[in-house]
Amino acid sequence: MDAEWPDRLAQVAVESFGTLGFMFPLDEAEAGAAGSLIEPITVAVSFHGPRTGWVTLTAPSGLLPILAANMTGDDGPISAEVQQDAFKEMLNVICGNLLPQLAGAEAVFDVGSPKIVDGQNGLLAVGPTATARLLLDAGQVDVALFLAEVVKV
Amino acid sequence: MALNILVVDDSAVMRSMIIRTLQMSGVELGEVHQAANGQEALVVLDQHWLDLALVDINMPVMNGEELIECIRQKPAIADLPIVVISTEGSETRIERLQQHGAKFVHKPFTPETIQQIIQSVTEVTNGR
Repeated sequence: MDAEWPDRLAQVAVESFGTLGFMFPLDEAEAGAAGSLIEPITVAVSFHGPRTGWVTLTAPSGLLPILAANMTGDDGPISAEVQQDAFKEMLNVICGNLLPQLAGAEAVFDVGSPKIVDGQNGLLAVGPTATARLLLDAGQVDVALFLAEVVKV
Repeated sequence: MALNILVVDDSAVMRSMIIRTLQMSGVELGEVHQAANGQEALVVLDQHWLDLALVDINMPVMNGEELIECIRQKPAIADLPIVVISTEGSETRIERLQQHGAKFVHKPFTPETIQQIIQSVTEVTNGR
């Protein structure tokens, strides 16, 4: 795993959050006050193919309704289910765009369904292969890539 | 001509987003139907005349690739224009879909991309 992976993770995540979620990185001056993960929620998606592993996305729970509203265009109250659906779909897009960089454009991967996880289930105890932190206008987001031979999500 | 469209994606948020993008794109819409997987899509296709299907790949129950194969084997709907909207990055899999006559849009997408691909698939110009 080369040293460029944190940048690659960040680049894919920034593009995905910008295009789908209309959330954009803060500049350095604005970023100081934004870096916190209050009531963090994590979603994970597994992939199997030439490389096996999973990708996780962690954000403060307060980011989810903003993301869902931006993606759906709904101004009214948004259910927790829809909020999580939006968060999962964002991870799905990030994962799909990362995989060709892992094993080349010809490689075929099977991608699982994104699932909400917590830090106690063992998934996050393994330690990521690469991580990236985004400071978006709606809050801090952490993206992590885990590579393993056997994945039990 | 208003297009009757089927949006197939297991994410309700993504279906909603695709429909909103369609509404913003300038494409004249007729009926817009939704399905959460390939099996639900086949039920809708049995019940309604549709001009276009927008299909995700990774879905539970029946995925998009299986759905497209089913559609191509049914004489009544075998020629249905299909656009795959997916995060799929494998050129191998994308080529396989294109061999079934499907166009491909990569997520994340812009409204302009959706408009252009629909116009190319349906040869709709909206009078412009």
